[in-house]
Amino acid sequence: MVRSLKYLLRSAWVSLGAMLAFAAIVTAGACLTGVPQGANNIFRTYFGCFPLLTLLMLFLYTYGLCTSDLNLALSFGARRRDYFLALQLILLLYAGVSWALQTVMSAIPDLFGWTSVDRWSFLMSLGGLTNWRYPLACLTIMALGCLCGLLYTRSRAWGIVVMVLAILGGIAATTVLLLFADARPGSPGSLVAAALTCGAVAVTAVCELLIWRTVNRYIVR
Amino acid sequence: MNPDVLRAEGVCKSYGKKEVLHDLDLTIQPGKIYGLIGRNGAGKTTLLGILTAQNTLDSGAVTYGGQPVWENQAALDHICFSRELQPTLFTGPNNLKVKHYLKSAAIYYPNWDQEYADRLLAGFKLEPKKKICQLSKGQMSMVTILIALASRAPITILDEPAAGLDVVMRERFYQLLLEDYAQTNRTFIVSTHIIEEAASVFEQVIILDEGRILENSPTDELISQFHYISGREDIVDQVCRGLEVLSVQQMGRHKTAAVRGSGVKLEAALSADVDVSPMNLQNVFVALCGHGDAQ
Repeated sequence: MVRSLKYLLRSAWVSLGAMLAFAAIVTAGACLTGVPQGANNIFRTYFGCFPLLTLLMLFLYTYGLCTSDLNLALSFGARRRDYFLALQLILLLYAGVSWALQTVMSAIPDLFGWTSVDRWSFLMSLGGLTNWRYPLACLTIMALGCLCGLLYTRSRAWGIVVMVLAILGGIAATTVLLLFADARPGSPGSLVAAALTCGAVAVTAVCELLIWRTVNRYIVR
Repeated sequence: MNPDVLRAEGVCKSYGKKEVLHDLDLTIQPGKIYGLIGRNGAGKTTLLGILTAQNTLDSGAVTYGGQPVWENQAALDHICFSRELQPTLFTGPNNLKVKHYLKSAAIYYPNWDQEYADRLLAGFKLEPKKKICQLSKGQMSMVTILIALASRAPITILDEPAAGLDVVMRERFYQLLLEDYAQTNRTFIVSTHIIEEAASVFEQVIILDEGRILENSPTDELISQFHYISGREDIVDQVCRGLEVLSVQQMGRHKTAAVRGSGVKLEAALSADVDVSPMNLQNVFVALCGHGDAQ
């Protein structure tokens, strides 16, 4: 498994580096264009939507992990089980870094006294180390990305169907996090949030099962 | 049992309703250069994929040193199957760079020889930063060859390594293969359609036809069994009795038969009023697998 992990880490650093660079560019762009003072421009939109953009990036990264990366690793003699296990560690790494990045991004407006606008509350609801629903959303979207890649190599139609569902799921998951982040225990909102959280866990588990089954029978092309 | 023997027993493989390999048995002995030849769609790449656990099988078993190859890292560490590179990859162009392939190979192959890889890279004039989709067909073959040779795997398999290479590069490849073989005595399996050129390199030849192994014999031994007998129709017919006639061509009363046989029957032909000429490997292949298409 060590070899598969080394192999995947090579591209993971590049992907995570790109994500961090994008965050830095968005933050710097926001600062330079007067977003902290209330300016309404593209950087403000990017900053506000950063949780969604992160999910989209994660989806694309994991899609590659289960298409070209998987194919190349197996063609060089990787064991399918090792690749699957290494993939799980990489998904956790991505989720962890995304969570940390989101925590930092959501803390920036408060730390630096940016003018409060509605979007910041949206962002704040997703950030923070205590909000474990965001890394869960990351894991769910990444599992869908992997499954989508695997299905695409077998059937283009199924791959596209899962891709559309995953994107919609990603948007829905973020919206739910937004709507119910502040719900108090016992309220209807918290019950819906709990149900959707269970749904995300179930989707992740089913995807993981399907990923394992598909990787285990994968034919190198 | 020799610990380095790669063996396939009773291997069957289908894609949907199409059966590609039928109850196939094959033994790859260590320290030989095998040539795998077969027509398009004969099942060569499928067979090589199954031997290296890159493809699944429906029934049967593949073992290396008596141990299953499937999901067995100890066995997989001894095998390199360097596949033909594709300019497109699943969703679009193959944007992976040459250096990505080489660095990945270095991670997975325990005997990877970086110094040798660097030498070959320079010798082939390949640019590591180039994307695979930007390479010519010949350059893609060079990457395939480079990975196979630098892997230093005890069993090294190349799928169509000469595809797209010009004649000079093909000669260079055969030379490198023989040099490496002389140095390491590792096992090579080379799948190719350029049969005659590679024939002198193959110590043993495997002929695959419609998912079945027709031959797995030493190249010289196999070729020596096949001859053309030509002459007057009636005499050729008489001489060919008792020999296996694979194909016949006739022009007027002149007849040429491709036959298989040796010993007394062939001696009789040699003393008759007919021309007996040897076949080369390509002719043998056409005679065995042509199924009349070549005529």
